[in-house]
Amino acid sequence: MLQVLLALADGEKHGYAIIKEVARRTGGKVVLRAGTLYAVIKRFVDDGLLEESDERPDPALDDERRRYYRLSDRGRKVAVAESERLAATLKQARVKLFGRS
Amino acid sequence: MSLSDRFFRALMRLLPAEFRADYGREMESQFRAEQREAAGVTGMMRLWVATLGDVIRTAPAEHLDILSRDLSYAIRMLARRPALALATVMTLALGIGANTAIFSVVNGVLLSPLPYPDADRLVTIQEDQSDGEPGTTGFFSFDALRSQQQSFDRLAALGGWSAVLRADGQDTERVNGVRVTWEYFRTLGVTPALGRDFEAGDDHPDHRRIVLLSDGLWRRRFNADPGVIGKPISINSVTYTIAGVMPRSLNELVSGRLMPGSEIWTPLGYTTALPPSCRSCRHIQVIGRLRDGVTMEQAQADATRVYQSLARQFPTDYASPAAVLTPIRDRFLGPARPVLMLLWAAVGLLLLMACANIANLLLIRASEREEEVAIRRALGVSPSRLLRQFLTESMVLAVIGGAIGTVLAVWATRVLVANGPDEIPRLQEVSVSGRVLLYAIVSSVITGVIFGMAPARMLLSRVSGGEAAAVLTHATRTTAGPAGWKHRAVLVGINVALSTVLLIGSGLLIRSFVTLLEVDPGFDPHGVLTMEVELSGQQYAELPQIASFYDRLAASLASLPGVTAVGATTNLPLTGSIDQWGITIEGRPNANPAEAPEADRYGVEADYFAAMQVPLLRGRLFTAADGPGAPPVVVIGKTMAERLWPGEDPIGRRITLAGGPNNPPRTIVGVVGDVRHNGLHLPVSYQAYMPQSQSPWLQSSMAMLIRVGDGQDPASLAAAARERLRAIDPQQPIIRMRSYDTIVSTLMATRRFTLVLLAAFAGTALLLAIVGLYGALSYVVTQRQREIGVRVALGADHADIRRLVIVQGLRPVAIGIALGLVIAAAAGQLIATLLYGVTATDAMTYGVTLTAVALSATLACWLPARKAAMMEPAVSLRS
Repeated sequence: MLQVLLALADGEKHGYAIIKEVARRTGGKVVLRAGTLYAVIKRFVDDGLLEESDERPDPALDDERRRYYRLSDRGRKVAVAESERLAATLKQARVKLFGRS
Repeated sequence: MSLSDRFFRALMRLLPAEFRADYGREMESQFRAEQREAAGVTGMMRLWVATLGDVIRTAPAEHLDILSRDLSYAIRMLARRPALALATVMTLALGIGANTAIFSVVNGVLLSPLPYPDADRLVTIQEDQSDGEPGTTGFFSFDALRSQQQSFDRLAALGGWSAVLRADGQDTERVNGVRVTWEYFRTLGVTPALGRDFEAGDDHPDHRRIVLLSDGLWRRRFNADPGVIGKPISINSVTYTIAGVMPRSLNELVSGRLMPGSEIWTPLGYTTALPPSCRSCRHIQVIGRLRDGVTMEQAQADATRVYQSLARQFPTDYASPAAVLTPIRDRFLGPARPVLMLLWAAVGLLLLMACANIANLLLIRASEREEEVAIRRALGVSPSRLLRQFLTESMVLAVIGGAIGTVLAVWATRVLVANGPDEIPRLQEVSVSGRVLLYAIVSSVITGVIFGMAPARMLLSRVSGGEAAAVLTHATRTTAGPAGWKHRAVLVGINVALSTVLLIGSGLLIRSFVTLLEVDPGFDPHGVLTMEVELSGQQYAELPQIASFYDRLAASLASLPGVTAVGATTNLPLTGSIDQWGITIEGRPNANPAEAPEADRYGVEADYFAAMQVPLLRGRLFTAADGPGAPPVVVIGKTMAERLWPGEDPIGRRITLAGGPNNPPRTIVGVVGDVRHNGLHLPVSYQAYMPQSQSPWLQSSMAMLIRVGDGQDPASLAAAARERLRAIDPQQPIIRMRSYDTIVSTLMATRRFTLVLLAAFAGTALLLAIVGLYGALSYVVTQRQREIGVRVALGADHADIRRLVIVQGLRPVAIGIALGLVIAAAAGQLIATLLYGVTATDAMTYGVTLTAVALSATLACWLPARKAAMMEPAVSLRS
């Protein structure tokens, strides 16, 4: 879930681009499939974390079937909060498991 | 489009339509991109496996998500109108509860499997002497059937047996038993749970003193002690050995229906050399198990062939006999079928009416929601999505109604089982089983779809296309217009039609019931206590001893305070007892004795005719002088006198009742009124009475009849009568003690049961129809307020307005009544077998029903009409 938000952190993307970005970022470990992706997108749109973008890139580059999504302010806040939570967890894990901070 | 793309599109149909509409195109285009990148066959395979897994994981979650949103929305919407929700839920709960309760009876009685393996191969075999009434057969015929037939694996015969059990330190108890040929349980395919079954060697007059016990008797009498096997038991003052105990699960239908309440079995122990095996004696029942591959018709032809060969050998003992085979399911469960099917159909109609009523309520509700629907449509919500939402709402109602209905059904089933007539077999086995619960669930769901669909479709069609905008801009309540009323009028019409059908059905049953109540049984059952006694023991081995016992008992009972007459008889009318014998008239020999007319035979003692109040029409009754040594006499019934001696005086004629050397001709000394012996609804049979002290047959059981004075309850004498019997011989048990009114009322039990239930359903139906009509019309009046205001302003008076509303309401009522009459006439066959004295198309019942429905409907229209007429035009116009 967070991977989708992160994929959109640097700008709006269409669904397939999100999948590509997530795969690239995780070194191919996380490969989202269409059904899963759009179920997540739908929930995030309903919850106000994502917005559908009205702006379209150059028509020459655009496939009109594609819809573009971007992070809303709320989505960005959630992504930041979740990242911080993970960072804190990681920090604790380092102390407990490896004895260093 | 490639094959792979097509598959993907098909796979996407698993996802909710809403989801597909939002993301389907993107998903397809994405899948195409992934296909392009997938290298070779392996790549494609991997892509497909991953995609399949993905959709199969996602689809249920998405459906659940929509459902949970719809549910919470539905609950919010319903909570906003709690009265409507409550009315709907309660109507449904009643409909589903009544349906489930009746179904539990139908299921337990008719649908549950019989307690025998391959029960559909089991048949009863009856002898038909061409008089249209197949009946019992004799041991001689059975023995011939058993040895000559080629169609059955096994045949078995059974006859009644009354067993008085005695044990040290325990009360004497009389139980109903059955005497069976040794193959009886083998034919049925059941084996004892304890001990052993009967063997061929047990079925002999000299060593037949063994018994099998029912599980109930074993638990009650022997505390479920497994050590009873092989122990002696005294029955009718003779020692028997307990051979085994039948399984608990065996609710023995065949014995139980042929010999009600039977709990103990013993071998028949007949041979063809014994007197009761005479060719013309017919008092045993036969069952058989068809051989594999043999049809009913073949077996029936085979058994008939045996009977006909007997008729050729012994032409004076058989008329023209044939065998009648009936599957045991039809024979024993068949009679209950019409009643249960009728009730089931009735509750089915009731549930349909509940649906129509709820649909009507929801239609009114729907018209209030047009705006909401229009807005949601304008926001791009698809019609199928809205339909799903509405159906979820009706499902919520249906599920809650169904749950309450099921609770009601559990209770109602108990009431039905406790109050159902004994004539319905297996009633005690009825329970709310898994199948019954499934039925409740399925009927709730179907109900929800039926009543939810109509309003939802109407709403969607109203706000489809361009109309949505109109609804939004004007926010008009257009459903009050012709289209909205049309939907409701159809529902009102359906309700009226269905309630008319139910009212006619219950009306016909009421008419039958009243007609039956008016049938004169030929005697007066009021104020009579019956006490059935059966003597056992060596001291009652001869006729004079038995006669002396009953004389003393009658004299003792007659001295009880309030008693006006005491009689005794071997054969009680209207109790289902059968004691019919062929009659030979002196000087008129029958060409074939087997074709002789038959009469009910009553051996009577003391003041029988006074106790029963059977009137003497000619001649005299019996006196104390008509004793054992006196010339044999007989008193006959009116119909027998008129038919056998038309235009002549039968007094002084002589007849013989059945054959036999000790059975002398008897002189007719009197003619009495006819008595309905076999049932109030059946024609009168011939009747012959003889003093029991002159009887050629030893019979140890008799029923005492104790008549009390006006205003006294005969049941109040029960304890005193019991004491009088004890004083004479404390060892002799009373088989049964009941008032004659109770006997007559038991006879009517099935009719009363059907009638009460059907009348209750019909009453509820009428109420539903009337409330539905009232609700729909009241709503219309509110909606037409403005129009009515205009009419009044233009000069219409109160009467005009009233007429306007009433005519609008009565139009669907008239169509509904007409439709109801047609359906009732067409469905008449369903009820025909339950009617007596009226036809299924009885004009009076139809007329009364029509009037009742029309009057109630007019009343239901009158109230809204009056309200409309009372409206102030100024207020109406402003609305």
